[in-house]
Amino acid sequence: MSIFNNAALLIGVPLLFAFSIPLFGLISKQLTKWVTLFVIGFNATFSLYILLAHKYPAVVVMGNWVPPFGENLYIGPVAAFLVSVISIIGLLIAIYNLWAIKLGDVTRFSVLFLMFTAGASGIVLTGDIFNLFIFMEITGISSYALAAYGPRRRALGGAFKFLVVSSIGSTLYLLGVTLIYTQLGTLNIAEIAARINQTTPGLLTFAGILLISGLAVEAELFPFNGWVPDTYTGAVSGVSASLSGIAAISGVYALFRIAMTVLGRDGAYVFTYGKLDLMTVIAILATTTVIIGELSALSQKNVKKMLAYSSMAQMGLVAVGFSIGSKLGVYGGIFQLVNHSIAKSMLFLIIGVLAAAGLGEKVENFRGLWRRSPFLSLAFTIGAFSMLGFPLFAGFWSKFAIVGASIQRGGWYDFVIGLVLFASIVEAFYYLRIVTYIFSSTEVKAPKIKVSLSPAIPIFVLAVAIIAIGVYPNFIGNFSMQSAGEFTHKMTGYVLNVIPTIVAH
Amino acid sequence: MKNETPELFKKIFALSVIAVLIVGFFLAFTEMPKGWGVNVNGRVSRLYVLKNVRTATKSLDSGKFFAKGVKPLRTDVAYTPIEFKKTANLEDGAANVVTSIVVDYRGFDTLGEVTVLFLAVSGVMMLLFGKRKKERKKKTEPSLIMYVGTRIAFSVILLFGIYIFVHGHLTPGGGFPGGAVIASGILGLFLGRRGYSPNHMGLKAFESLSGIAFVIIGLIGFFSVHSFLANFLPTGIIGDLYSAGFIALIYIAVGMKVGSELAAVVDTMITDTEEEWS
Amino acid sequence: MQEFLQNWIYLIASVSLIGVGLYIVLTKENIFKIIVGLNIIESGTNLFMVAIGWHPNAVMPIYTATDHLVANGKVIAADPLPQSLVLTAIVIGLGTTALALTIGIKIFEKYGTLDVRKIKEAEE
Repeated sequence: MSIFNNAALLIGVPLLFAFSIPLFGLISKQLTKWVTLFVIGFNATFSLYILLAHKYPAVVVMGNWVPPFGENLYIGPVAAFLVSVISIIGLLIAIYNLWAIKLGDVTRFSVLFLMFTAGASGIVLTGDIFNLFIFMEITGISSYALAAYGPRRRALGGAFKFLVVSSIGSTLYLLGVTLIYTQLGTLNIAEIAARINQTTPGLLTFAGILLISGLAVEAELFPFNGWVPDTYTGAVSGVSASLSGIAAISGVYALFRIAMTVLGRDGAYVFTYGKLDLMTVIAILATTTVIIGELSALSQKNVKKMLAYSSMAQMGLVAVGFSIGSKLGVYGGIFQLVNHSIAKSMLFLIIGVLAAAGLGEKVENFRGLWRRSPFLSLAFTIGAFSMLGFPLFAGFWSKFAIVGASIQRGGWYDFVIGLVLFASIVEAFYYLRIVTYIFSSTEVKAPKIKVSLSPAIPIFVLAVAIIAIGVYPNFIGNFSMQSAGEFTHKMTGYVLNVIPTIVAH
Repeated sequence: MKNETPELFKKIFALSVIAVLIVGFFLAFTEMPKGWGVNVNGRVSRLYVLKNVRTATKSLDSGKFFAKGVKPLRTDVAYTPIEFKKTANLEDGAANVVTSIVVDYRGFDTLGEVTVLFLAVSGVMMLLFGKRKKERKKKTEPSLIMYVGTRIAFSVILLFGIYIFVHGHLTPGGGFPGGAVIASGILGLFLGRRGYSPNHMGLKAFESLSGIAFVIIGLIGFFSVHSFLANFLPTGIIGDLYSAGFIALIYIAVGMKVGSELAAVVDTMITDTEEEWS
Repeated sequence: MQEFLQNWIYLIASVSLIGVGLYIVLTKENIFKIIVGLNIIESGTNLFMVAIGWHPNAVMPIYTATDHLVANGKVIAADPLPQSLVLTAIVIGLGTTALALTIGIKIFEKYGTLDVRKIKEAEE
């Protein structure tokens, strides 16, 4: 066990500044957005340092009580990689917010956005099953409030729906945690993971169902994702971007940390303990999510709602990749997750810029956009191509990996090939419809759209990232592959790095 | 939605969800230790009650803690008798074991919990932000007894709240209940006088500074013991007021924070605002 | 009978609370009632969490001059860890409720109703 306590600053510094932002707000409201920007920038720099200087795997001991007695953070390949992604996307959205958030209570918005990002990193970092619940609530509460922000009244309905569904979900999660605690007497993820076969199968199955259904809310899986369209459509675009780019990452991470590391058993393909294989259950739910999400997206006239349903479908695809259970499948899942976050947050940011320029959210409003703003049109096209998995764009490689994994696994998982193909075709339909509208040659009288610098930077960076990953997928692919190893080999990848003296079962 | 879900279908759906839940819980309960079967000694709490995590850590490092299969040998961790008002320099000096878990052994949770409350209050303030209306909604004027009574009661309630969070490591209670008690005193002031409004700047500063104090206490532990939120003070004799290291400090910060936050929530919800988006 | 009650009563009570709360949340149309339902679910969860740490011999987990938490090297106190978790869960529930009520206030300001169906109609 190597200890790297300095990484506690990844949580400590954002907290310190979140508490002090109201004081900065007394000086100037605009200053608070810069404070948020710099703190998330610190997080991004520090996590990139951890990732690139290869400081992982390491344990961060909290309060000087080593795991499993106290609380700890665990920085493995997954945490190092995903925290970097979360912080960088958070940083870019913070840059966008400099321009977008001018009205209302800017100070409190900055607090909530900062803690939203830090809470999402906390979910990925933490090594304690109850602490995960706390971070889920930090991310959750800040996202309900953020989703309700804005002059439009429909934001409120979406936020309320999100609040109700998500707090029931976290209650279910808490009940699952409690049930496991009654038998194992511990809350540390590593110890639970090592001793999970000592629980009785019936209780474990029910606790697993509770945990999975609680976490599926944030991961946007089928019966629990009714909030997605309303919330994404109602919220202001910066918030929709951060929900789909940041909260989705942490949600999927938490779901599969529980399903694969805590409940799963080691092997070529991960199954779970208990009377029911929860990985299969997740696979079925995820498949349904993909089908429902894609078909609903197809019939939408509102672009933002379409993106919301598409986001749902893509998260389903991510979950399908993970639930194949092999290293290649998890690799495809993580890769797809990162690609989706990059592309989807960029698309939402573009919608935000267009909305500020007075363009509606209907598909027809995009007609002739090419003449009004070539930059935004190109960026939107890049994002759309990445979404539908066009070769030489980022999304292609991850969908390819998921298909490869399903071929490797064989059996009834072969249908995943068809599922990915189906998803790509439907996505091609609705994304290319918008792209053709954009490039249609009808004359438009409307003036050109001016994009100011602060929203242009994140859109440009994300578009370049999509192209860069598409042309040279190995850089991100390497990190995804390492992360996949942590998920599929729970003893050597996770447990023994946290508690070295525990005996493998 | 055009095709409204029928009322009956909704009820049947709800009942079936609940039925599944009840059956599941029943199955889980039959397999779960309960009542007489609850064995605290097999749980990690045993080490917290005995205040002997350091010994357990040593046996963990030497590979003995998880030796038999994977079952941890929590019952093998030695018990050194703890006598109230006599035993000194325990690893955690709080007489109230729940407090020692909340603040010391699992202090990171508490920091997160404070953050959750802070975020909720921030959300409330952000959503209800706007220009204050001059005219308030019609409310009945409180009587003289109410006016005088709440003001007298306020000082007593404030004192009681402070007592609760200062004695958090000795008696039931702590920062959160203490803060809630103080906030209820301030609520009394709202009821006692129409148009009462606390000092907003002061509340805001109080709230921020006490939150900063919590994180800074954590950071002192980070720089002196090299672990975030570690206890860096001597723990004293168990049962003394001046014992248990940094627990009292943290609970004072938490109590002030919770008190000012809940008061701010009441204030925000009671004032009528008119939002402006231009 | 007594033993059955000691083992089961808190668990049954907590699950009933959770069930009642879920029924309210799933069937009621009024936003305020939904918030009440959420609170009932939370109380059920908290009761459940306290119940798993309790046993009939339990003393409170506070060292005092008269109480002995440990007898013959064995802990006889109630399990303090679930109690500390409940403390956390209560505060989180409070935060969620405050935020939900605020969103409810704003919805009433902007739509003039708390009925979910009418809000849906107003959107279209």
